[in-house]
Amino acid sequence: MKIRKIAITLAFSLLPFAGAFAADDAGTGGTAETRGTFYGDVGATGEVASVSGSKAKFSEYRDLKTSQGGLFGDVRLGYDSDDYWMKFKALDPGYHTQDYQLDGGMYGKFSLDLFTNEIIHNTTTGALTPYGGAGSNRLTSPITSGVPSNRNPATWNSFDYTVQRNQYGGEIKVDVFNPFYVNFSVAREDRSGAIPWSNGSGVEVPAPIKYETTNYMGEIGYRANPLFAAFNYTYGDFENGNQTLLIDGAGAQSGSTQSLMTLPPDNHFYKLGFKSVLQLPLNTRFNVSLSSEKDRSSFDLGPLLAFNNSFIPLLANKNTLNSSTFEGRKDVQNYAFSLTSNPIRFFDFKLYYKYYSTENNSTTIIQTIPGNVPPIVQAPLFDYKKNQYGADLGFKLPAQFRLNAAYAYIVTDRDTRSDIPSTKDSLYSAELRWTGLDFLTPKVGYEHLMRLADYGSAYALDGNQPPVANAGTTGHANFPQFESFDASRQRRDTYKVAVDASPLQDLNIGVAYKYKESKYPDDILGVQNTKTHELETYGDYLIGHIVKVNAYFDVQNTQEYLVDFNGTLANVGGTVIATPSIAPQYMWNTKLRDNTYEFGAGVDVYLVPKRLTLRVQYDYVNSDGTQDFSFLYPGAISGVNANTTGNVSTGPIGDPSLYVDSYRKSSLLCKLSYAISKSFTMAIGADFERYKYNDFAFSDPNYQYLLNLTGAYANPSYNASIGFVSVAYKF
Amino acid sequence: MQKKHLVFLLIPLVFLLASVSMSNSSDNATNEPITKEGFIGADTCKGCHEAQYETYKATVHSKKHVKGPASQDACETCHGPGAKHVEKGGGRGVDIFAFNKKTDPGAKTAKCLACHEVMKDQAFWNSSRHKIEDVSCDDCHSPHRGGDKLLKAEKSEVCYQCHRDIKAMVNKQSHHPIKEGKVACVNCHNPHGELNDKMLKEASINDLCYKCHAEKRGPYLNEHPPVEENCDNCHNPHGSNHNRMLTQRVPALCEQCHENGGSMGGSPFTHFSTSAPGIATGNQSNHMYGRACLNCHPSIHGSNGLKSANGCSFRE
Repeated sequence: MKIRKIAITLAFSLLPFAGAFAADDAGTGGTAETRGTFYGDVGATGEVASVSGSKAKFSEYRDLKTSQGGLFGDVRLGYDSDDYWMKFKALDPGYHTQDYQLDGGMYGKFSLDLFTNEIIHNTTTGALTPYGGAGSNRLTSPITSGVPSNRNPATWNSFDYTVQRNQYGGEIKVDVFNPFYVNFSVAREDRSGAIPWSNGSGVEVPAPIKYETTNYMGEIGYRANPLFAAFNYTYGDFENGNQTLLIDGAGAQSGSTQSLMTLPPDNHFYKLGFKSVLQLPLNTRFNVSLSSEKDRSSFDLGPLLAFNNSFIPLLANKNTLNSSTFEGRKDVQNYAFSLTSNPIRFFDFKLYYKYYSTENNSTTIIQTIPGNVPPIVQAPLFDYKKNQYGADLGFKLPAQFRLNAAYAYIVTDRDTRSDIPSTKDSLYSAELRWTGLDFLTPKVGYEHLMRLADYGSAYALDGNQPPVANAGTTGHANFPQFESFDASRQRRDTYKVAVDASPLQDLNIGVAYKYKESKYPDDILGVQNTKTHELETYGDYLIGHIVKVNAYFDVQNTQEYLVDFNGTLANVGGTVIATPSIAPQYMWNTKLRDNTYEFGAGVDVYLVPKRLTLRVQYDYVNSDGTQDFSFLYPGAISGVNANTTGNVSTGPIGDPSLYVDSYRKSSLLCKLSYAISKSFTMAIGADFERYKYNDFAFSDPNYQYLLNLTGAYANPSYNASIGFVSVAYKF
Repeated sequence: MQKKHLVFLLIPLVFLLASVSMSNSSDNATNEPITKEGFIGADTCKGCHEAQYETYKATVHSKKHVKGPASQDACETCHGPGAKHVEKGGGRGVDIFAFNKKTDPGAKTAKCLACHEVMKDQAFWNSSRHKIEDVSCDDCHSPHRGGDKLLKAEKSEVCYQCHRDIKAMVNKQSHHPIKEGKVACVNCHNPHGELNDKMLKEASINDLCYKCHAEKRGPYLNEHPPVEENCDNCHNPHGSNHNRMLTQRVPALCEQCHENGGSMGGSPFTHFSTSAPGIATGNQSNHMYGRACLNCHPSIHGSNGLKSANGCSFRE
């Protein structure tokens, strides 16, 4: 009855628009101007592929079937008239990357968009685990307790690390109430697959993915000079079909037979937002963006207590929680205002203020363990506030110079982060650009960040830290010298210079260089500094409408310097690091370097203009990563991983240098296209891809079995040769 | 009459008023053309610029029901009155507003903003980084050449014209599927301007990432503060040499903040062997092999497990 009322109401509501929606005749009886046009193209591509090596890396974002070749299609259809339009697109039908979109509407009145899209991410195929049930939330063991010790890989179960996203939804936009408009959209994503996880004690296992995410968004706005204003409301819901992972025979606690791992909980959020722009005199605008969001989640902790996990004392101790349910409640506020103006020709400015805060009102879980005093507070609730003030100034100087200068001051307060509760950033930047010649544009820029950090009073660097009473006491509090680089004091300088030129009509060239250095002067341990050099060059040239060439060469060099200390807490004594030469303690440091260069060149040869075109494109990426260690040990060190008991393991003397994340990637594409007629084209070609990856952490072929790992991300190298023929018809 | 019934009466009444308002609003397509001094009409432009006219006719700008050139002065809406241009026999930029490199970017953009400034996607253009950098609409769009959204190139390719450093990152071995066409720059950034840093579509980086990675939103019982504050503390969303788009490989990434103290002893986690190559039994370490720290700490984005008395986190 209620639904009938709603339907009748809606039907009567739309009656007044019957006249407004009366369409111009399109197709029959109308004028030449109003009759619509159908258009489109249909194509098919047949591929033959030969892939050796990792099919997962070759097909990282493609259907795995493509490693064997296949037949691919694409369809684009459209209709367009003075009043209506419609477009339909279908790509890769039948594959895990298929993409369909249908949109259409009436010009100036409304539009409707429907879509479905699939994204696949293949990480590793043929991963191995001794457990049964890979991809589910229940992993069974071939033995009754402990970690399966069978090192015979022939008896392990094979599975793939793959994640598949299926997205679908739609959006309707209504403009009939101009200057008011209404938008409404729904988007849903179903995600499934398996990702690498762990039992919490060094055993790698697959965790299942079965997610459903649905977002609803509605917006109503007004847009007519001098005002734009819009309200929007979003509701999002995330559901996880597996919020725990039960693993047989893998508990690290003595006597345990199972381990229960937690996975992401269901969550949902509501968000109300407002945006507005008001035009004022003297080419001035006042901009506002406000939003208020509530994030919620809920998780039943009861089942965790039933398990003898590695960290939960035996149930026999009858430990209790103050609440058996964790209710996650976080409120997020965002207020942003800016005033922009260009009051006179040669000067413009922007002033802005932004406020962003998260307030965590989740349940504080306190665990009381009989015999243990005091009770354990599971985790402080983290939230933070950020206030940002800034100004951007722009000057049009004589001789076609343009100077932009900016300053931003950002204060971040972290209420429950005890090591670095507050930081203050001052960010200065300037850029000078010259446009005196219309074929040449050079520019230089500089940016400086100075971050000041207020460290928690308990962790001051003056030596007045809480003393470490007992061996085995751990936690960040006992290494106050180890400041977290994300918030500790930082000085960062960035220099940029770039030139773009078009000396001839169809010739474009350019070069850009950037150097960035960050220093963390308070971090006695941890990252000390990072440096990055980047150089990009490019060029493209159309020679007489017969040949088009393009080329680029990019280099990136990144260095990071990190310091650490090998020793136990009892030996440190809770003060500034004592003499590191006291054996078996020692300082050590490591330098990580990434040297990456990539280049490419391509040529399009118009053998017969608009008829026969040859395309050749070659791209190459080379990255060499190294990690060099230095052990500042007094005298010869006979091994590494030396622990405090002095039980050094044997090994070579010296400072190791390891190759890390090094790879070569190349592709060569050759394609010959022939336009048989204005509508019909054919192409034939080949694509050769090579990818070779090296990292010492995946180097030993037996490491997975020796270390209880499944082989996630291992052996990604591949060689691929693909031949293809395609036809397309356009109308 | 009950309030809920009143609502069902008011809804169609509001719609009726809106439709009356709409029908009374000006519709230039049905008005008689107005003669303006210096304006020559699109048919005259077509006489010399037939190719440009045909491409214009294929776009939404030529639709009379859309507030734009077709409902105003067609070609001369953007290019200005053409009488003097014709009198002088035409020529590139002769007494006509041309969208070329010699024309001030602000002036070019102002032509487009005359209609587009109040559109919701372009409303914050005045506050955008692109405006400060003198990027003009015709750097990315062309009504006479463009395809989808009148862009001069496909999706993210148009951004790479200037952001070549980002293109270099996207080419790295670990990347979002941007090259594969499944993710585009505009999924995260609004190139027309936002009040957020880097013209992101959301107020914080985390809020943006949660749109596709909703499982990371939480709230969680055990949270990792740098993760909660900024995903970019550990990830480079444009691409990286390191798996999972991390800014540094594990365990070095974790060692930037964590000393591996306590039971880990602050060890450097390398591997050694008295005889190369290979791993001598007992020397290999799952702190360095495979996913390193994640072999024990899988829940580094947050966890609802119960921690132990020693505070060891993200292992449950």
